[in-house]
Amino acid sequence: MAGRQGRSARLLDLRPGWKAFVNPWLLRIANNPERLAFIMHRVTGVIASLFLFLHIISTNVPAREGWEAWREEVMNLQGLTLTSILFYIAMGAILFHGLNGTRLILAEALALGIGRPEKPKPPYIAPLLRGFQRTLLYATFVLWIILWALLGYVMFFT
Amino acid sequence: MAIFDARAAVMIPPRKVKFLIRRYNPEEGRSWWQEYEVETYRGMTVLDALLKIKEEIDHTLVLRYSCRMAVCGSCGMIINGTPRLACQTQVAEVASEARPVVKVEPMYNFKVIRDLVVDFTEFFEKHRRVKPYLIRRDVEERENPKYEYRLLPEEYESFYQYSLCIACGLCVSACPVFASDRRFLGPQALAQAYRFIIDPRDEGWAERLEIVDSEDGVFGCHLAASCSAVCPKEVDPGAAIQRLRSLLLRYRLGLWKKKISGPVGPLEKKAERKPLPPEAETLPGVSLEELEESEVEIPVDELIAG
Amino acid sequence: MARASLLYLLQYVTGALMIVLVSWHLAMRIPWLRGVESFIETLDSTVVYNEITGFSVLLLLLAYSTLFHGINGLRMILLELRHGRYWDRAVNIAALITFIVFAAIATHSVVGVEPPS
Repeated sequence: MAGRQGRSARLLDLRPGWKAFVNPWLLRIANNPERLAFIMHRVTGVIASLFLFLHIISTNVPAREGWEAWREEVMNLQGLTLTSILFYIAMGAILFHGLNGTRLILAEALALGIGRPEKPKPPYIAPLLRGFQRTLLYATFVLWIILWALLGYVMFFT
Repeated sequence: MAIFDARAAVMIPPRKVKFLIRRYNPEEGRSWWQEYEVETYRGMTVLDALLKIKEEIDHTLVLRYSCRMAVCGSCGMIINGTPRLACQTQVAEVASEARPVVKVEPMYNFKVIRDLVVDFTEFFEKHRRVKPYLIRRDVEERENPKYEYRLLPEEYESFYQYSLCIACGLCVSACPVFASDRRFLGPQALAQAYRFIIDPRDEGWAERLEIVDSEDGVFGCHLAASCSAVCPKEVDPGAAIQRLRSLLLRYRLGLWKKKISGPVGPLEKKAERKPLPPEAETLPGVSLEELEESEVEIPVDELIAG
Repeated sequence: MARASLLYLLQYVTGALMIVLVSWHLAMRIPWLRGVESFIETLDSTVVYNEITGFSVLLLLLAYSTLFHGINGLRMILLELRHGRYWDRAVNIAALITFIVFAAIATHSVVGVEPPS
């Protein structure tokens, strides 16, 4: 053990650790929006699950405390309040997570849209980066912005 | 990433380029950035520049390299924030007149031994763990083979791309999961696992699937695709891992069956020549019988002279 | 602990299920589909009560699959950040307990709801 410790003390560890999945600018890799999507998928996933816990507790109010408390809670969501803004952010996270998740299920679980193996030829861009999932990824970003804006309209302007 | 940038071949780098190199001295336990100024020439690679620094400016700079032409995979480094092979990167590609600076760091996700040299022990350990070799049940046949194994061209094409890996470690240094998860097998090992699992000549697929079936194996990957974007050999580890995961899920559901091919057996005997149909005619002055009897003559001297 | 492939299969299946169910769940809040004027009116107590009693099975399915998906996702990140026998076990047990507690709360909000006065 002492020997191993001595050895690891002599080696420098440049491993970025958790910074790698919160910092999209850690490495500058061209032609790789998937990495941004990966980081956003994680961050939105964490936001969405924290929202989920709060949502389950808050929707328990009618059963726990009755409908009067529920009405008071709903009033917090009317107009621009801290609750409604946080709610709106959580909705955006869920929308992105769902849209990107559709692409991930297709690519990861079903291996669809990731191109097919080929003999490498110039300009040497991997089939994964040319596959249908790339189109889906761009569609994800576009749809996300549109849906989130629509949701903002529904929440704050109706 | 345009790994193969045709324009780079004709680009001219700035006359003087500043090299910022992240150095590390294990005896003192000290890490610092050091500056060098290098006079460039057209076609200079980053590796050339580093060797020039080592030869002319600072002999203490330590780096690992071998073939200088992207075959051995020794000189992986982070150049201006991108994991690349130093020998494959033109200075002109990464430095411009507006910003004649090249930042060189040792690869992330590896331990640094000294300056730009990193420790590959963990990397090779993980590669070894997925059994990157053909496994046959029939030991007798394997030790004393009489015939080669059958491999159809389309089967060959399904894993050829993944067998081009040169183990340079760029994919691992780009992987965001590997950066935080020490136990993750990494893109290189998983791509190699897939390459051997779908090889029809291999019979060790079940044990390999057991090895990769964990959070630190194939399920550690979350499709950031950085590995595929930095690979200098277009191995596409990202796609290999997705295929492996899909295959593993199908296998667990009983929907995937491995295709195994054995030795081809003896070749058929040369068949008798079928006689030409009566309407077929040879060119005037050519006799088929004579042609078959005579030796092939290639006029080598004439061809060279011509 | 169960095999990783089983957990991840469930992760993908619940994910696919949630794409449908969450879309439905969000669509219930669009005012024009419900024939009311504003978003807040779709959260009115009678509307919500009718929704909970009318679609109780779907809502419970949504709650369970979302909880599984979310907690497994968090567990995955936590297992990745740190290693160690005790840490792994603690994360797994915490994930199981969180799932049971929140599933119980979700069940209670559907089963124990009274009609609004």
